[in-house]
Amino acid sequence: MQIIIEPHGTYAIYEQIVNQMKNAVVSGALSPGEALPSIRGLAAEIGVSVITTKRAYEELEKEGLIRSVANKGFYVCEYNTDYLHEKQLMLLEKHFADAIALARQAGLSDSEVRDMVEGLL
Amino acid sequence: MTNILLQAKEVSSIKPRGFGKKAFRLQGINFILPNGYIMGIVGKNGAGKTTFFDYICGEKKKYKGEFLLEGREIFEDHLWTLDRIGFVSEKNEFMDLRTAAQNAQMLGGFYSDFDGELFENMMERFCVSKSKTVGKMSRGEFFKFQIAFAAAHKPKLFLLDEATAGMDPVFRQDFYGILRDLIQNESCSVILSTHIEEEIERQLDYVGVLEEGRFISFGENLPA
Amino acid sequence: MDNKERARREREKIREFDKELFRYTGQVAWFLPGLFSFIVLVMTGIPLQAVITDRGMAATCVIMVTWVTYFVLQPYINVTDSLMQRQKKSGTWSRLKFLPVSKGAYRRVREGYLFRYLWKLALAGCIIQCAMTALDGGTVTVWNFLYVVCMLLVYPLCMGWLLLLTG
Repeated sequence: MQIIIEPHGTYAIYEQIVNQMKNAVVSGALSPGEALPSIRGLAAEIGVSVITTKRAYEELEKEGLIRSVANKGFYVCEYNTDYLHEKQLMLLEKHFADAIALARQAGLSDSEVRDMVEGLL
Repeated sequence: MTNILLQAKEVSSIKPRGFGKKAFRLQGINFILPNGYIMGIVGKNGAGKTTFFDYICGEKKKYKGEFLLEGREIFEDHLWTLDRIGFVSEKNEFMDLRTAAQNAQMLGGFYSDFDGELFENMMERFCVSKSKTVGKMSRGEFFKFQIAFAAAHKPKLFLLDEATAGMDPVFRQDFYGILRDLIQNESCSVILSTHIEEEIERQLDYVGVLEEGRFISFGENLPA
Repeated sequence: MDNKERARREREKIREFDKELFRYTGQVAWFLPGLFSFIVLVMTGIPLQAVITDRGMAATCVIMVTWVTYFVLQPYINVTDSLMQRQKKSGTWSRLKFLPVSKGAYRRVREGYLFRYLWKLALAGCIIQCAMTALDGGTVTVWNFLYVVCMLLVYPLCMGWLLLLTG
């Protein structure tokens, strides 16, 4: 997977890395159990300092997304179902919110929206 | 966990602060630099950056407090210290009338472990001819030569004094790539000084801001 | 002894470095010391009695010896770089000061070179002084030897030590 850094963005670089990795796990670009590049390897790849990637990995580890194996490196955690599920729900909620906003724009009333959903289920 | 390469403990100048002096003397310097990282010292000209390097490389101990290199006070056996330090600075002098290769051969012999082949490989990588007369090198070439020469004796600590001033952005990227390579296997670290604010880029692991001889801040560099 | 061994090796390294340093030193650099040495030797031909009485003679001798010392040491203190005048007046040591070599050892090695040169000069001077004193009809005393040794060995060595201390 490619990590793209936006310099001088709103987020600190290590936060950008964390977010992009999280998305990769959710989307499946990073599979459970997959080996991640080393802290130094990643730093060299993206062109950032080692402290940055180290901090990013520490954050991801704290959130339970990745784990470190002594002398081997970092791996994506195997059982993320809870986190993934929560993330999926959040995504779903967002989609619903967007759809409702669209519906309102189109001029639909609340009951019309419910009818539409019922029809689709 | 990470082993400490250099530690400064309450390093202060022995002489009192001079008035009207060009550079501020250092006061109360404390920091820890582990192996395998790049530390930047940022400060205006005169803030004390060159004094910092002078304290480490100078002939006499001009400070009170301790500088510990791998746990050992650097002036306990200063030759041992100098054998482990690679100092790169515009003010360094070499045999100006001789070629880079001749300089390496003549001066490298003083180090306990000087790898002539490594020197040549690095010069090649930098695209600087080892047959070039040192006195005729441009500023950029001179720095590349010094880095190659320093790297060849496998120091534990690289000290780069304003190495990036006047460097074009293209080479500056390459330069940090070179530094990253040097510290890749965590056998050494780099301290570089700069007065350019934009230098506090994403490439520096630790940044110490020097003002009037004191570190007004020192810590991990986590930029946006 | 580890320290003695280290010190010996350090001096060896300095000598290796010097050998390379002097490789390109042409005959020109050695011309001046040679010239002044010759003048000094000629002056040692003047018997001690004459020197003691003539202040001017004594002063000239001292000056000459000073020049000899200075020019003998020059090639060792200043790099052959300064064959052409450079803006920054720097010496060989400024090229070595960040290297793991001590200034003490560096000075000792150079004092050694100076001594090697001077004792031969002093020996020649002694012979000439004795010969000329005898030819002049005077008696050779220990003072003749002392005079030559002081002038051609002790004084220049001290001068050299001072020069190396500063340069």
